[in-house]
Amino acid sequence: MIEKPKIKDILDVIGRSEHFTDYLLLIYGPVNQDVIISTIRLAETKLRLQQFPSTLISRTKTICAEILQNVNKHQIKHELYQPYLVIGSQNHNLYIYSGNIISENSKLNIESKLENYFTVKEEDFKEFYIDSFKNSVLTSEGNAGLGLLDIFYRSNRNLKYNIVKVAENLFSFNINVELHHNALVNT
Amino acid sequence: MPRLEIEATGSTPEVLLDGETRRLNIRGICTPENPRQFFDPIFQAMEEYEKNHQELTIEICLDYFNTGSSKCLLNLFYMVSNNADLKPNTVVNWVIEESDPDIKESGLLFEEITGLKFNYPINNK
Repeated sequence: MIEKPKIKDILDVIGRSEHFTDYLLLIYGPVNQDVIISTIRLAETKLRLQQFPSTLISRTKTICAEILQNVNKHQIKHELYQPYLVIGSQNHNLYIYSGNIISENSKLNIESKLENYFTVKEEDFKEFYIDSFKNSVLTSEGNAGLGLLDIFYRSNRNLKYNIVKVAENLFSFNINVELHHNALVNT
Repeated sequence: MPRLEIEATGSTPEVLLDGETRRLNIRGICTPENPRQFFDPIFQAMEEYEKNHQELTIEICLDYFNTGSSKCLLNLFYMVSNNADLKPNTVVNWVIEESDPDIKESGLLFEEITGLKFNYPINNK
């Protein structure tokens, strides 16, 4: 029995976007390293069961790992709003939706990064990605600050996001990633 | 002979650095919460290895890895490519899946950045 009414809200919100019709996986609640490992394994199993091509499965695993590790590092506990990750499909394309509560500092950091990525021209993006990778510095916590960039790059820039204030200094960060089957099988 | 063995976990690969066979093998999944913490013993063992050896075969076979680990792998390749004694005698086998172009692309990226020459054997697991 699902007690948290927010799950229904999440599905309603995602359902309204009408990007996909088939729900393949929904993870709801706090995330830790064990949840990440289990989610990636489950996602792989579900996608293999549905006979998605290996290219798409591989990229989904990498993107989900980055999304969930970002959630793990930046999530803020909140009574009503819990992190979620949904994988869905339609017409052989995959959709990964995720959300979590973040602080104002994280909001400013994320907005600054993503706004910067969107300003880079498509033809220059690979060079930008390589330069960012080369010049990044690993913190003592092992953060390279490249997670969002990697998601952006691997989704061929098919990433949308919104950040909504839910309380003082707390924001809901939602990210939607689309993986188009045709774009990937041709890479 | 320096030797480092790390067993695989759900989020980290198995690692074997063997001074006798002159090989460094990294195999599995690499998404540790703190990649720096995971890679530090490898860097330390490599520093020791470099003092006594002038050749090395690195074989990396990863299903997937996170960006922090990617940065650590880059640092590992920098370590090798910056060592004049080791660099000409280092073989890097970046094992790929035929059906997964992403892993090969990552290898090509490391190759481009570090100037090391990579081989791309197909995984025959």
